[in-house]
Amino acid sequence: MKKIIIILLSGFLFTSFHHSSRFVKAKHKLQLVFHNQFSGKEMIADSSYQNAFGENFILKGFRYYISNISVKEKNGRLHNISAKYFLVDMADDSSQTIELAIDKKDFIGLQFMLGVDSLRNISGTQTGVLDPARGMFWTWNSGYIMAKLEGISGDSKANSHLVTYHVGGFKKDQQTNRVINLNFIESHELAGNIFRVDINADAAAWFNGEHKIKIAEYPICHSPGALAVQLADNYSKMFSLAGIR
Amino acid sequence: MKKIIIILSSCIFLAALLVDAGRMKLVSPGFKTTLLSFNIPPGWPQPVYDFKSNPLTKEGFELGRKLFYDGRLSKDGNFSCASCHQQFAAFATYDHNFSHGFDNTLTSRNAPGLFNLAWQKEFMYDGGINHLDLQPLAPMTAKNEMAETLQNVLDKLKSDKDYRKMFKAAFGDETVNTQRMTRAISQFVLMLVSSNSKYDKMKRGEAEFNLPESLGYEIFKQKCVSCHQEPLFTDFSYRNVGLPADATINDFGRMKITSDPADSLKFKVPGLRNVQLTFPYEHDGRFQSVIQVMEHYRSGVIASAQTDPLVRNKMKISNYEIGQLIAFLNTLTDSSFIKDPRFADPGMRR
Repeated sequence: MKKIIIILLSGFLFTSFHHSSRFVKAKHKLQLVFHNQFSGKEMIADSSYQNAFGENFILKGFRYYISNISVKEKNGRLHNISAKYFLVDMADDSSQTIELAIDKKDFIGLQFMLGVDSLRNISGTQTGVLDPARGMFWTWNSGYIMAKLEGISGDSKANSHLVTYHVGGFKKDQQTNRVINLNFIESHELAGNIFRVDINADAAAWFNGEHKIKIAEYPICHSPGALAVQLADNYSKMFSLAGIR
Repeated sequence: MKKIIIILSSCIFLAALLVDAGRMKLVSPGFKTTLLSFNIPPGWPQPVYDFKSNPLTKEGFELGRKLFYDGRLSKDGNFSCASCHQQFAAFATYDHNFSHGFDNTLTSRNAPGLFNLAWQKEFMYDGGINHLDLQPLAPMTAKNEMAETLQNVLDKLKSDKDYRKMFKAAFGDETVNTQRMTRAISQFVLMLVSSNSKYDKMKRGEAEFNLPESLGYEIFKQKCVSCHQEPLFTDFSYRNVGLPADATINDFGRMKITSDPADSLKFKVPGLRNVQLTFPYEHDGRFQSVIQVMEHYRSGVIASAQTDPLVRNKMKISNYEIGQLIAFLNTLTDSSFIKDPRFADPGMRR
């Protein structure tokens, strides 16, 4: 009889173990919080901002894909912690915090990609935030819009004074995804379980960076090519660390 | 006491199993589909479509067929895929240089016939679309075609009980998203295989060409086959054949996709199967008949730096040869394909 009980109990133990092993949780949480800004000011839809060339700009929209998030360990090694895609959207607060499980809590930097890697651009219709219904996909020239900045400016000569920067392109010489590295000044070891990194994303960099892009000259970018690549070079520098907690 | 322990522990054990089963259920609620086989006609190359990512099933095909014939995919409900891709015209628009779009608009290119798409890697005359599943998104959202947003299309489908049922039958649950919608449409159009023309029957030894047809075939193999390669009658390349741009459209073809001036006025070489049904011809439907197309090649080519060397100096084709070539081209009509009830509007009875 004892034997039967032992068998039954071990069966129970096995199944419960089986369940818990399926839900192994990493010990820590990494929170990336994106603060969308324009020249250091918080982004608010329909508010007016000014770029480095004195051009005024009423903001309508700001969205970008984040993916391939890695943490940089003390020894310099990169440790990929998520293969998922995130669409950070100025108009959606919940999209601005990315929460990921990590098993390390001692690292010296962060790497992620702004954009969608080329494989996802050639593999048919995707789901989730990559669903083309999210409005970040060019249907006539297959490929993702990596990032969008939209508004209205008196300096724009386009119809309705629109400023529309839809930046995409993944083919040779047209690439617009960018790898972003944010290094911490010192190694951070955390006491608690939640590791929060605040990141500023300042859209003023789209105009004033390696390339000087004036609204008066270039109000519209709607296709892959030279202008999109220049905007991408500029937005690769829009991120900065705001704080680590 | 012992009994109680046994009962208790078996209860716990069973409960654990049930929880397991419950989880399984979320993944597959007795979900079963009927696989459809895709037959590669003898002598044809391997298809390029990745069937592993989107296995053909009866349920997926029927969903795709319903979508293909449903006007609700357009903004005002009037334009289905089938309104420009008509079965009796081998899924081109019969006798129209341009097709009609939302709010009295015209398309800017001639609608191509839809068949043998599993062998095609890039879509549109300029090759701008790199996957069959992505192709329907362009006409759905184009202002001069179906003029609808993808989100609106998905919302309309989600609110329809029949569609929810069909998505569940095809994909396991009622989730409606762009991927499922476009994969279902792909399943339908992938099955549109046209391989039963007189030419095919001749190749299979089931029919014989008459004299003009066989003479035309020989001329075709001398003068046309370098671009219109058998068995699909295209090499899928992009070529400039000396057709100047229409100033009202300014369509420079592949250059729009590559931004490379070398691609100016290059358009995809069209397959010639069912060519008798897909008139008018060329990317903008400027020629009403095959005779006009051939006349272009022997006297109309306007050469530019990008014009293909094969036609730049105009081709030498006699009236006699044109006659035989047309007899041959007419053997490429697949009359069983355009009457196949599997591909007809599911709402119609024949």
